[in-house]
Amino acid sequence: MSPTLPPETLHQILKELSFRDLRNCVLVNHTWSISAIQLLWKNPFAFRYNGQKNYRHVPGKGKRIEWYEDSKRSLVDTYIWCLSDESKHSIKNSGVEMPNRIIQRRPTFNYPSILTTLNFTYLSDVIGFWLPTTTTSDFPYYVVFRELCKMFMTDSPRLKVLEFTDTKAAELKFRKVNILPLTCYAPGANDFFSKIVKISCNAILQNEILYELALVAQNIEEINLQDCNKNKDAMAKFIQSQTKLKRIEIEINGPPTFYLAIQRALESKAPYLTHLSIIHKGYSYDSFRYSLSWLVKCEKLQELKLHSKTGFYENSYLHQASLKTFKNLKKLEFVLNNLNSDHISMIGKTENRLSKLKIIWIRVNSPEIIQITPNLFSTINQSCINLIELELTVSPLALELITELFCNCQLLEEVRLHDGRIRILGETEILDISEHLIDWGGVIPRNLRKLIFRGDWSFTFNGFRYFMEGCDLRLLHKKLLFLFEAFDSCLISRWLGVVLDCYISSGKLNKNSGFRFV
Amino acid sequence: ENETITLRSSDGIEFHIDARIANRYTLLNNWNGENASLPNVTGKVLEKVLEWCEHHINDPPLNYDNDDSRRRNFEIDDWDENFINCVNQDMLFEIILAANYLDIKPLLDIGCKTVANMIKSKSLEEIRSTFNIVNDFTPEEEEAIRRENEWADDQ
Repeated sequence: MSPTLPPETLHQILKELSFRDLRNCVLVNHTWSISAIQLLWKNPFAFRYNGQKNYRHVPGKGKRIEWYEDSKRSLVDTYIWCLSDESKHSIKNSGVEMPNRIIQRRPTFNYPSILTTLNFTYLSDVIGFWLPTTTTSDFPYYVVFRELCKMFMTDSPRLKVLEFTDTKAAELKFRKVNILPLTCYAPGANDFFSKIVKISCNAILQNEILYELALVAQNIEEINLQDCNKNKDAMAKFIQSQTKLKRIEIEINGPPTFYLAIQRALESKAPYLTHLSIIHKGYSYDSFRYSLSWLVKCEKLQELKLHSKTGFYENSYLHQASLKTFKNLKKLEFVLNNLNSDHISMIGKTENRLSKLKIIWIRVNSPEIIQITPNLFSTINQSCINLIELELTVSPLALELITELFCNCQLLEEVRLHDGRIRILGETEILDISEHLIDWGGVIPRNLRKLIFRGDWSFTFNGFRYFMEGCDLRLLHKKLLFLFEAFDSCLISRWLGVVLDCYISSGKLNKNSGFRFV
Repeated sequence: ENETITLRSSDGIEFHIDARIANRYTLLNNWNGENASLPNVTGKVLEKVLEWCEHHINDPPLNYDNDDSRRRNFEIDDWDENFINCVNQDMLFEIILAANYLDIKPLLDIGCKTVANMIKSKSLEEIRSTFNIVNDFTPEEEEAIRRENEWADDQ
């Protein structure tokens, strides 16, 4: 028999496994069972929703949704077994037929005690499957929901993350979140909600629930908001009532005026924020634009992401922030319509502290940008020498500047370059980068593991061969992932794929290298 | 110019290694010296562990406080794959134990990942026989646990 592994090592091994493999491990023996159960029951709802497996292609019928009804039912079964006798009787009294074997059964493990993440939308969906199809009234549904929530509130001390989002709304059959009970009134609610450290939500969460939550859940460290047009005022109130907020991720999907209250709430938390991400999706609103002057108050910022491709912000929205030095800033991300000197000055002020930089912009060919591109590159060369990850829009004119950037940023491990051209069908020309590839091979950062191109670029066999010779000398047997994400499959010559395959099979490139069409 | 340090295994075998190896892993460094010996690691295992360390002497330093860096560096390369496949299962477990004990995280990661790969897509019986594990459940216990975790079955 092999030597026995300590529990923490067994745990580390099982962490690598899928739910399916873990299910087997649960039955191996007592020691394995305890370890596997700890992983399987952390966030069991995610299993049937977060994977890629919810769709199935049925011949002749196209895409079909897999409900995994039995699986969802048996998950609820186990949690029902864990309920107190009192709760089981409440459910029975609400008119749900429960055989005695369910009522009398006690589970082997205390499964709720392991739960760390609870998605209310998924919970409402699994309950829908669990109830007999003959159920016509909402009452039994409400009772089951309430009793399970009550159990999680008292028996799940590790439950720290609440989710009210459904990223796959279309796949949910039962979405009765409108009867999401006001669990805030339940006994023990104060204790329970004061332990929650992370919450993600979207418009599903009604105003009244948010106002209630604002009174009891005040120790949240991380908030993730998507599309909150409908509950923006309640959301602002919720943000304002927080005492420990450090990380905010917010997705904005409407005119700036919609977000005045939320912006003010964010501003009031600015001095404590370490991670801030504002993703603006949607249209441009010329009549009223935003300034982010309050960013200067974010003294502790470690990570900043600003995405707005449509000019949500006023032109000099970053001006004040660009004059400030953020001493802790490690990761910086801009996805923009138009690059300007404020962005560059902000990068310059990070003085080699950045480990990740992403700057993507749309208007690659505008004259102002062509003028300031060399400035951007010299700023990166001088002030970003410790970068590990870089993602950058590179206009054809800037391709030659990459060589010097590689020389300066020798710690880079992942590089992704976008050609940034606006694609007009049939008019986009393919750009030969062979010449540059040869130069890059000679100076390739020694730790580079991923080099990804996004755009319609191409290269010659000789160009690639010289590039690989350079890599061979500098990367020392570490296999590079060399990936082309092209837009127009017609433009890429087929044999380039063959060339890459040869390098993969001879062990020079990572096996996932090649072409991918996006 | 290359300083060496001395490590002694539990069965008294001495290894003189490049000080740069020990510097990468704090615990090895602490065991340097005349009377120091590693009570939990035998010579046979220590030899394999040091072989691995020696090969990785020029690796860039890993920042283990940073999850990103750990994730990025977590691809088993050819040499490591060959190294780990050439040992038998007992030795693999001994190496994992030693790496855990000596706090050599990259080697521990490789070992754990290798064992995880041995579990993947195996049936319950295959897992038990691969690792020589005796089923210590009663049939009732096993059936109950099976029912309670049925939802994780792939259909």
